[in-house]
Amino acid sequence: MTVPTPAGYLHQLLLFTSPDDLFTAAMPGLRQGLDAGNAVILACRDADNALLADALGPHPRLACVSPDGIYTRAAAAAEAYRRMVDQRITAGARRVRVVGEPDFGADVDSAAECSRFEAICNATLARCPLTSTCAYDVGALPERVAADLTAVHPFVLTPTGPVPNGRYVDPATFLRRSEAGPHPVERTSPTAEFGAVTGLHQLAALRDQLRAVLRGQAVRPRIVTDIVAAVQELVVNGLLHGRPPVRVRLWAPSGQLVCTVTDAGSGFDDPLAGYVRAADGDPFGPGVGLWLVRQLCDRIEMEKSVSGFTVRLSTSTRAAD
Amino acid sequence: MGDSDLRPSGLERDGHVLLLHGSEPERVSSLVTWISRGLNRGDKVIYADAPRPAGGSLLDSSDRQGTEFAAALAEGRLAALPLVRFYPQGDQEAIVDQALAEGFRSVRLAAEASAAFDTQSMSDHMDIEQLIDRLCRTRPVSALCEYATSATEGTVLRELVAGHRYELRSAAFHLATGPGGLVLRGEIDRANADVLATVLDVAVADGKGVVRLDLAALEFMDVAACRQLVYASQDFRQAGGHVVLATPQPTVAWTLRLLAVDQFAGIDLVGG
Repeated sequence: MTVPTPAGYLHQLLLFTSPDDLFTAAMPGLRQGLDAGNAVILACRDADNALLADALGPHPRLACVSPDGIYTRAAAAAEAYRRMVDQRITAGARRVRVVGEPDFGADVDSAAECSRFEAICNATLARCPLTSTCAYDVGALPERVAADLTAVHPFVLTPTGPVPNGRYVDPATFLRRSEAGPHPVERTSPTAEFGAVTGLHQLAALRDQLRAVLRGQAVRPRIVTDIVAAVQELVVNGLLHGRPPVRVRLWAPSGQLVCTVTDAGSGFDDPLAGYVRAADGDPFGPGVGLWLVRQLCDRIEMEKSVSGFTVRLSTSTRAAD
Repeated sequence: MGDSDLRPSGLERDGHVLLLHGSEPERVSSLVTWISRGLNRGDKVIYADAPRPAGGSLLDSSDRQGTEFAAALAEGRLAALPLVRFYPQGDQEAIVDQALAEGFRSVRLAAEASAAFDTQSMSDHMDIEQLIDRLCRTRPVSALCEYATSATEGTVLRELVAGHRYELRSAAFHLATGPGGLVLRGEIDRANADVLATVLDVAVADGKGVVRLDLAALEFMDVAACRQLVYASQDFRQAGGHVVLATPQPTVAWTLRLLAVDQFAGIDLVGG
């Protein structure tokens, strides 16, 4: 049985085998949407964007966007969706419909990043008046990936419309079971280990030292800026919400940076932490530091151990500026 | 002929400067810079420090700076005053008069101000700050008032920022008044974001509709700094005021945009 459109987020999976398939499944909802005062955003590969846009014809509430600018990393893509919806609603649309083909490029494990992106959207976009149709060419997907993608969509788009997905898994559970754990390079001695931080007055010196090390590793300026800003927030969190001292270690395996920030506190266990901004309505309320960290690097994971609480940050140094 | 040629030479001053220091080495470093600049300019430099154990004063250093200061002291270009002699009510004007009577064209003061908190009431202290502020505005005087950050929380910080508007130095962050608004330099983070909040709080209370912050020389802002930009200006903006964030460096602009600071009503990011 298909479902009526909810007030908030309708997140549906479309596994297709040919462009015709995609066209047939996606078009009815898009046409209905434009007729009902919705904004439509197409974020597919160029050929598929063109196929759908040509059939819909020019319309003031229809836009094609480049997937490259959106699907950079999971947290950033979810934020890009949120901003796109915000803009359209502010401009007067009643609801937004996105058809996208998420693809995070060759430098990361794109399939795993797609699943993470789809999982967190269920949390970060829950209150958005948005229908997003996530289209994947099933012919190009290993079976395991298709299963993961199925697990992170509460709805599946069928020829007759969206139906609830019995194999849906809530995002926290999904993220927890897909955690990578420590990077193998952490078993080696770090490229740099910084002095223990016990107070806020040491932050400026830590940033200077970190910048110097990253420049010494020939890391590009944009990535230096992002890593310094991310580590700053993690250390502040460790000092103020965890327990000093806070220790920062950095490794630079080929094409990557791995950084751990460990405080002496007991930490917390929430795989969704830092994905949702302003859960309490305050955009600068608790959690905004971690939210920024997720925007600034490819991945963070949290881990409790006997020595305290570690946040592990990793980022590709190959990614384009 | 440019404007600079019309200005009387040797009379430009640094004004009434609030120094917020987190440690003794930070204080000494700023003080040494202040004194050296004064000696180079030909000012009479008078500094007042709290008593130090034997061998611990600024003049006991045997390096090149210490030697230079000792020579200036011997020649009367530099004077070291015990704090208790600098701080009695009303004496500061006499100190300035005396220095000018010696033939100096300008006077440069420095005082370990927060060390005087022990010996006088806050209202007496603020009266002296007002007097020094008047001297800096009406006589050829510059003054560096040194406060330990640990002694300047809450309302004290607000009074000090209001009393030294707007010239503030700390290890990480400088604030000055320029033709285009308040000029921020250095780095603002969780450790000093309360200073930014206080500066904004004082600036928006000035009653003008627009507060312009020149960010061209600001090198870093963290989440806490952005939070204060938004929070400390909230009432002002809700009443129709605007905060203009002018010409931030790309790294700072990136943080402001990621955190959507520029999306708040009444915050205008220009030239970033």
